Amino acid sequence: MAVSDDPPKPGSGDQKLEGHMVELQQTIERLRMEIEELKDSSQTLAGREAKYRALFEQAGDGLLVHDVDGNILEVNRELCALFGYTREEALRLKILDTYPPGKDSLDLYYRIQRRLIDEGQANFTAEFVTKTGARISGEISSRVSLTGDRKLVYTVFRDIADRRRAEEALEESESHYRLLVENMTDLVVKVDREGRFLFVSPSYCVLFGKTQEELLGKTFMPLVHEEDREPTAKAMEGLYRPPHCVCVEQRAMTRDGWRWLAWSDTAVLGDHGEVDAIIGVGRDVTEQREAEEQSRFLSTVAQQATDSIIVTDTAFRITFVNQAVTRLYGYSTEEMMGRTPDFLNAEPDAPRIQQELYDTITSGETYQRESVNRRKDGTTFVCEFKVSPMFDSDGKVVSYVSAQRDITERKRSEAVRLQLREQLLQAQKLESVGRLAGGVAHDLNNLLAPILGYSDLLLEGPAGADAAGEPVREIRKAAVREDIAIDLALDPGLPSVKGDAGQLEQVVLNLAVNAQDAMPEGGVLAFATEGLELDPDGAEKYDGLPAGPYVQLLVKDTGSGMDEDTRAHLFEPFYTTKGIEAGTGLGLAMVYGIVKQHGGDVVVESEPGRGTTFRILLPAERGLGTWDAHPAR
Amino acid sequence: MTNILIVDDEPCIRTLLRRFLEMEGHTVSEATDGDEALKAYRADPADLVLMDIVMPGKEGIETIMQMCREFPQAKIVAISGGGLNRPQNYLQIAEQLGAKRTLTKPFSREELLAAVRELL
Repeated sequence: MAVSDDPPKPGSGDQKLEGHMVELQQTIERLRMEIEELKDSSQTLAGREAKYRALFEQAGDGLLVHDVDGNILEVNRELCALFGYTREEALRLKILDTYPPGKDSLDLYYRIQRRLIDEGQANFTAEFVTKTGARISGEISSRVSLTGDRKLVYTVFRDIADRRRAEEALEESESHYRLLVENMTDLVVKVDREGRFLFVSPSYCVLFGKTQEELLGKTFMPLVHEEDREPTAKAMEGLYRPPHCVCVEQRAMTRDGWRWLAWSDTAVLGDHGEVDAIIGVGRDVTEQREAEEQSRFLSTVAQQATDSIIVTDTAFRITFVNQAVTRLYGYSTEEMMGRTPDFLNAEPDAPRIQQELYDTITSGETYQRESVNRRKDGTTFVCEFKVSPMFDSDGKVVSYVSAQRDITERKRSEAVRLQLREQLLQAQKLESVGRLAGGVAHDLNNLLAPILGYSDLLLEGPAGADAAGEPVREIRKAAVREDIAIDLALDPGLPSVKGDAGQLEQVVLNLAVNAQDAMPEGGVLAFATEGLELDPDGAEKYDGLPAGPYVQLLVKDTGSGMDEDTRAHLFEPFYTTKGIEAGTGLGLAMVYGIVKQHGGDVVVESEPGRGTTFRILLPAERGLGTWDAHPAR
Repeated sequence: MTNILIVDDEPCIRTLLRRFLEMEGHTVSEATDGDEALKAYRADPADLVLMDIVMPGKEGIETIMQMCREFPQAKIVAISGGGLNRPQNYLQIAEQLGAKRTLTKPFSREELLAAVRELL
């Protein structure tokens, strides 16, 4: 466009100016239109630019643009976020600044640069450094593009940390499982439907002393004890139906010989529910089985022990009783379970004993004593028992064990033994006293023994039949001695009597001699004493005795007895049925006199052939000794 | 054939017992007190022992006690003519200490043989 600076001329010069003006106006219009056009097109570019920038900024991946020298020209928000830079900071960086230090990254960087130049693009995964120095893994996709006359590199950065983390987790868990299988003592195998090994754990190889190579492809059954093969096969049939798992115990020939293995087998199912393989997890349970066996044995021992065994928990509730207990007490096992054993004790001070027992055993000590215990039927017995606390492997008390024994019989024989010893002592004591009289008897009997014996021999021989027989029989008769047994029934609680001991002895002696004479062929001489109370009616039977307490002495023989006439004169002085050489006839008169002097009475009960009983009553002294009253008879 | 040991300090009683027993076909050996009896029994346990109680040296009660402790199966007949007021005292003790039977002197041949038969 040409513009003149000259002023306009009047006249013809006006027309010329007018022509310029039109021209100018046209130009202006054209320019305006061009400007409008330009304005339009610049607005369109800006819109486009804005659209792309929005896309750029909002992309989920990190985006950056750099030149071939590695100067960063543009970054998006995501990339800044990933690397921790502001945009301004990022734009001052070079690409190499995002690589970790070290020769390896430098090599990588130049390799990538080379590839971009040669191939125009590069896809790779690498580790980068953020602003804080942290490492970040990225999957990089770069492409070279000619923009104007500049070669620019457009790069997409995808953060693969999450994926890596998942992969690593997977790897880690795999290695965990591998470690588990390799190090676990449990045996792990996988077999196919025919029982051929597909996998064996190292523990299995160790136990059987074979390598994986030796086992894989072979069947497991030949390793199983012959007797256990059929049960094993039968059990494994269960794998083909839900829930597709079975447990089986079998013996197997291991490196250490036959061992018991317990297997838990599970079927591996295919897509259509068919059994593809079987995974077995096994364990050597030999020790466990032996322990069980031992425990069963011990249980049998406890169950069948002759001593009674009661086990309680720490709250003293019965948890176990053996057969001897049920036999001893008459309770069934069910009746005793859960109860505290107190109810078995029949001692009057049972609560004190129980307390003593609890105190002892809870302090970890053993308690032992004898007590009277009661059976279910109410009868009692002497029980020797011992209660001890039982400890677990940590030394904690877990239960109490009581071993009991009925020692009634032992106590009885102990008492007998004691009695025997006393008798023996008594015999020894009496021996010195009785040596004279006894010695005479012993010597006499020792003499009589051969006389009697040889008489028997003679009588059995030829002498028995002829005339010599008679005198031999007489010799024999003389040698046979009367045999009188003495029976005592003495009341230990007898009250005292006031009297002359010597005189009363005379009474007893006289009655005894009389009885002996009444039993020439031997018999029983019985003495009985008893305390009794005479009521007025009872007193009437006795001559002039007042009612009251008496001591009665009975002297009874099994001799010839007396008729009424003899009985009537019995106590008269000088009355006697014996020959003049045998008695004085004063004995019973003396008995009568002494008894009467003592304020008592004597009565006689006798019949010919039925023996004789003398009944003597002497007044008892109250307050002296014991008095156990019986009604008079 | 049974073997019977007679223990008595009285020679004429030993002779009598020996005659009675040998007539029945028994083999008999003799001892004159407890110590001798124990020695003889330990050397050759007799099927039956006839044991007098009152003897000089080791008497019968102690001998029976010791013999029964050493040989619970020993069969012993205790024999006594007394020494105390009643021979039964000793014999009761002997019986409780292990004698299987007792016999009071003087005894008849039948009584002796009955006791022997009962235990053999």
